[in-house]
Amino acid sequence: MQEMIEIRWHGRGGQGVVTAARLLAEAAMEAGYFIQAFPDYGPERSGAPIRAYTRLSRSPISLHSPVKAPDLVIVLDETLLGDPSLLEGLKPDGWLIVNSALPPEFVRRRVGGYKGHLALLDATRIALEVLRRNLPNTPLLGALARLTGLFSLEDLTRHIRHHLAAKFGEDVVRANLEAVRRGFEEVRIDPGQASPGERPIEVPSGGMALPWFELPRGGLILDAGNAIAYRTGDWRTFRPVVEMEKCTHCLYCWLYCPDDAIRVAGGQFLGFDEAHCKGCGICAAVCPPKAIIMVEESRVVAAV
Amino acid sequence: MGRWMALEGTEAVAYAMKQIAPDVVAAYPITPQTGIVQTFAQFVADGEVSTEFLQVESEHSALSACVGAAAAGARAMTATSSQGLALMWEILYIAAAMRLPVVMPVVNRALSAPINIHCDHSDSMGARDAGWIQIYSENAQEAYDNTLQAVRIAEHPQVRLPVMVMMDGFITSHAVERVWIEEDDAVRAFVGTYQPACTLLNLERPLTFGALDFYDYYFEHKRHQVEAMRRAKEAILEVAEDFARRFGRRYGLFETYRLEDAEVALVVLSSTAGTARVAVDNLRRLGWRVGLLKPRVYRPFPDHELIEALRHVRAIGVMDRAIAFGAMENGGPLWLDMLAAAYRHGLHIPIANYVFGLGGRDITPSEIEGIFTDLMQIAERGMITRPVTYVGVRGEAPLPTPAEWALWLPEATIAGD
Repeated sequence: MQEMIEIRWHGRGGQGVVTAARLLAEAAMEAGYFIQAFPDYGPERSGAPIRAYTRLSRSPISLHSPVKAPDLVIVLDETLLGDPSLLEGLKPDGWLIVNSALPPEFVRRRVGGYKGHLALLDATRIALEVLRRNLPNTPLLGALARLTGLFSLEDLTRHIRHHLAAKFGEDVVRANLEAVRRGFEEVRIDPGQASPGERPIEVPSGGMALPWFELPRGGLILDAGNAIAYRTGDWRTFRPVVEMEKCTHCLYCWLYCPDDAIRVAGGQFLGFDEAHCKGCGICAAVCPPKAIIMVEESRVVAAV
Repeated sequence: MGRWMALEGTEAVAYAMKQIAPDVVAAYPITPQTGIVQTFAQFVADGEVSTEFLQVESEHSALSACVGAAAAGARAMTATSSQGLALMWEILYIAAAMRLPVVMPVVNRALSAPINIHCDHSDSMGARDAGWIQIYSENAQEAYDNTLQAVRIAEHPQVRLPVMVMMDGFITSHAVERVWIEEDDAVRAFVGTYQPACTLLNLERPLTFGALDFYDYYFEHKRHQVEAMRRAKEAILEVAEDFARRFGRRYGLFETYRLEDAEVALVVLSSTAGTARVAVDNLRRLGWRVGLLKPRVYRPFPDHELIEALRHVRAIGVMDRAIAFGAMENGGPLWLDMLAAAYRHGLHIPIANYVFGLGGRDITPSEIEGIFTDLMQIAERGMITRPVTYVGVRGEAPLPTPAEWALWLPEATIAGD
């Protein structure tokens, strides 16, 4: 391999993105690499897009800055495929790896017509079948062993045994090893057209970039209430769905919603503000007639 | 017309606060609080001032309440000392970074441990990088005058930063001195009415204060704070000019005494500068060319102005009533700043540090004469053998006395005025 491999992970708060970055590093360490794994910390909000990084190297790593030109971009949640910054800096011969059951053409379309190396693994399904929980990290490790050749299935097996055996029973260890094996075998590789020599993918930065002297002093925000422009609805992994015939318009949901995402008029419940509902499920939990249920966002998206 | 009054330093400041009549004063009422708040609370209780006085449960809350009040558009003040200032720590940074013009008189007293209630500068020196303007006062009059000016400086549209006004614990705070108290109306006209640019309570124009600010904006806001601190120097002089015009007492960034033709100079803050003036006079009578510089504004540090005022001397002594533990030579903060300023502005002369008076240890003119003697030797040799002297500490090598020095001082060098 090259001297150093840099990996950027994309996922949502609560999906184990940080753990994934760490697990991969640990597995690689087992195979003799120098490692680094770190998250891009922010307010840890369930469902909010987050990033983490892994560096693996043959020699000690002295770099302590974010990964700007990754060799691998790994996406744990396919609802992030529309994020324009997903491919930022990805090397021309790098790999995009997505936890998805979608066909490759579909994924490529969602990622703005991406043409480079692509690998897909339905890690969520494997995890649900084998581990009985949505922990896509473990099957992904198997897929990464196959894709990168950085470490063997045997390395991974040793690593997983070592880390899980102390805490969990043989059943859990076996299930995890099975998840890894299936990830190794089931990863779908779609080479695409690598174009060596091309520059890393550039993404125009979308954020505001005011110089310091144009900012209001003291961190003051002059247009109070601008949170409405921040579409936190994208963070949802579950969404509330209402059965209107059961709704009594008691407005408990409106009272408890931490994001003011219940639409109400004239004392009547109208629905949800989908641009801001984070899918926390509090409305469903407090609804006295149980008129609100939470449905997995990806199912709703797939149905649309 | 104003009038002369016999006032303790704390009372003089409480008078200033009464005349300023801030909208809100929040304070914690027991030790380490000082007579400032006690006297001011009496004014409030007696109906002499209409300030809303908040008695809170800690110094941390006192400054927090001031932050809230100032953000709401009120003119807010508190006062503190020693451990109280230490407990305010995190809110110090918040008040400064939110650009809230809170004014806070600080009675300089030692920090525990060991437990001590007496004067030194460890409390406010520890807060020197918190983003507050720091003004040090030599006596009760200066404490009064500086408190009045602090309001204008803090609220200056080019500044909008909180200001601490320091006076020495007990030496100034609890000593009765003759203080000229200006007329209420004249003070009111000088401080004016606070015109907040942005307030929480303006319902016509809702604002968000204190929002989350990550790596994408935090640094820019810090840079903004730097600019305010930079502009503060000019604003301080502008306010001092207006103060002099109205009241006749003139203030600058620092004050000098017999420095023009001095061979060696001593730099010292607050009440000790007054004591050092006596030592200067004593030695001048012996023909020694010694002078004094008393910084008034410590933050922003007037590095260039200080060095220019000292450029002609052969050696500088810096007296610190605090230790920057673990810093270079375990010297004091003022010395470290002076060394940096000298390097920055190309002044290459010996600059020695004299740490003194911790925990209220006395400092006398004869000890300061010892310091001047040491400085004369340093000037003569052109080098320092002991960069930091802990003055008067048992077990430390004592400073030379002027008499000892006179024995082997070449006749020519002491022949002065």
